[in-house]
Amino acid sequence: MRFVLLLLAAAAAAAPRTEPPAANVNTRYIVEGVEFPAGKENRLSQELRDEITGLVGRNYDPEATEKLATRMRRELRAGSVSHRLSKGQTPEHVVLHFEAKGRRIEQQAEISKLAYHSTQGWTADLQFETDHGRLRFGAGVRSDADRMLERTAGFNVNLARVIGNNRVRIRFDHDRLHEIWNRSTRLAAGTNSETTDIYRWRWAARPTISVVITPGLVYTAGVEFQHIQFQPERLTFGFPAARTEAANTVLNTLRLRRSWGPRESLRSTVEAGYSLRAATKTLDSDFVYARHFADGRYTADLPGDNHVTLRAGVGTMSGRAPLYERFTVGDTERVRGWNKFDVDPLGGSRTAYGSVEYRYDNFLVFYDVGSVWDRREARVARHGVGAGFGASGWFLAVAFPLRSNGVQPVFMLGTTF
Amino acid sequence: MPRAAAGLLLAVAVLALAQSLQVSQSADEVRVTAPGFHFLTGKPLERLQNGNTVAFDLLLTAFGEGKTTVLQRAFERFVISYDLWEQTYSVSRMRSRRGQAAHLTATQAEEWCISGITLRASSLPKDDPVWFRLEVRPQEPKQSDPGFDDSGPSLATLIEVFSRAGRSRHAEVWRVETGAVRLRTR
Repeated sequence: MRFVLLLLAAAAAAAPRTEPPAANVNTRYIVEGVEFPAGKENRLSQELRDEITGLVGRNYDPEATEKLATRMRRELRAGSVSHRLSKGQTPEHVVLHFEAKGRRIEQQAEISKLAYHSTQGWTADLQFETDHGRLRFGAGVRSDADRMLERTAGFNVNLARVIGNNRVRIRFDHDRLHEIWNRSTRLAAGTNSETTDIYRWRWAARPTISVVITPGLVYTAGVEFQHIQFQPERLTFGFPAARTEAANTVLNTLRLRRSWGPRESLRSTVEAGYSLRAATKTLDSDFVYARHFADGRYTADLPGDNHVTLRAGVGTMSGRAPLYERFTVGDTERVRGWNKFDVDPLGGSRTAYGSVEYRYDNFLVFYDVGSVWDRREARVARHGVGAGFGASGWFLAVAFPLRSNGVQPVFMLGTTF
Repeated sequence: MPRAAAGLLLAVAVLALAQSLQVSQSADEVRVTAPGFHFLTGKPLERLQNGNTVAFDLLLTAFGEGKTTVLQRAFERFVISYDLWEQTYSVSRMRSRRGQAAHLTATQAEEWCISGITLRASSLPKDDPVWFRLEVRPQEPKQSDPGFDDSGPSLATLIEVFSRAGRSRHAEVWRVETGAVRLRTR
């Protein structure tokens, strides 16, 4: 039986994959109307809706309809989108009905990033990936001075597979990273009871599983095994005392993305997330800590190419964690205009930041505020304003820190692809 | 034996008789007919009546030596669609010889498919008994997965085809067989 099925499958592979459109006898009928999936029309882009309604008045074209159903499935993040025909009111006319079922996990494309910050230098994070059916293999190289206290240089590889009814993804990541430190961080490391020494390299292995709870809402759980080689500045018997420690954490992340409203009036998009990273002795970790972080972003696309973006984030951490877990502000995304080493060369175990950005066509202005601090430390809010040019995917801006002494502009540019 | 069980056995026997596969031979071609055997039913029929095309793969196999040896196989794919206004079926043969038939009833469409698949009589033994089996399998609707390439068979599509074969253990496959048949010598 299995052999027969295999033979049928092999024969199917050898046979033409798609039938010519003429194979469907209904192609001679004119599409009289189109019905979108119930309650989901507003979640589709205007462009796609225009193309779908453009089918009306033309002969039924199964191939074009299937392509539009595929795009609809992507935009709705549905498990499947099918279509069916019914007889129209007028003879020899048909009505096209689209139906969406289930939900699926996005095989999220890894985002490559190039950025420049005039006081912190260049950042390059290049990611490559390839799909083989439900399998996705990814690899990347990076030298990133933007996201953390240290410049992180190294490579990463990952393998992901969608399982079940496209609602579950399992993924394995491996990173191997070398760290380069800013002088002010090197000098300050170890002087704060909440921080660790600096380290030279680290590698991580991270198996995770992600589940789509509702369309746009994804929960990810997993563990991360991180080995860190410390080589402090202080000398032991004339030599730096290198040691390797483990920071093994349990990961939990919940992320939401929703868009609604027609593009011609007010199109809103919300992205929000919460993550918890908890290092525990149960996983044989040398560090014990819990790091909570929540962030949100609301974008309103208004008529006439006006766009308003509000962003905010809060984080807190208990216990003693490696420096890469500490919060920073003062980069190309958070509290722009500031240098993160001027804010605090060791970052903080607490953070809060916000931002308002207005963009008209490609011209943008923004105001950012935020702070990092440690337990029992006073919070100092840092403000920054700036202007520049940008669109989705790139920006070029100059930003100024709002402070009483020595206002030095920061030039930034960045692109994601 | 309880009456219900006896009734069930009788129903199975009647169904088996109704779905028998009959063999005919003309020149070097062996054809089969299967009166009472229907594959335009269930989900494939629903998809057809929703205006979609459905591809059916037909596999005709000749066995020898007490059904332990495969002597010959023939495979054909037919694409069927249902005319919403005329309420008739149209069939296209996709593989060995292109051909089309339209304005058919469901039974006529099934018969047209089955009659379009043949074996070579000269390759089959004349003196020994031969068993024939016809299997019909509807193709799953094409997955609209962005990981798939529309340009034709690729590594991804082959992986999908084979993983689909693995998944389809519970998919609908219709099967009908003959008893032992002796082909006539010319």
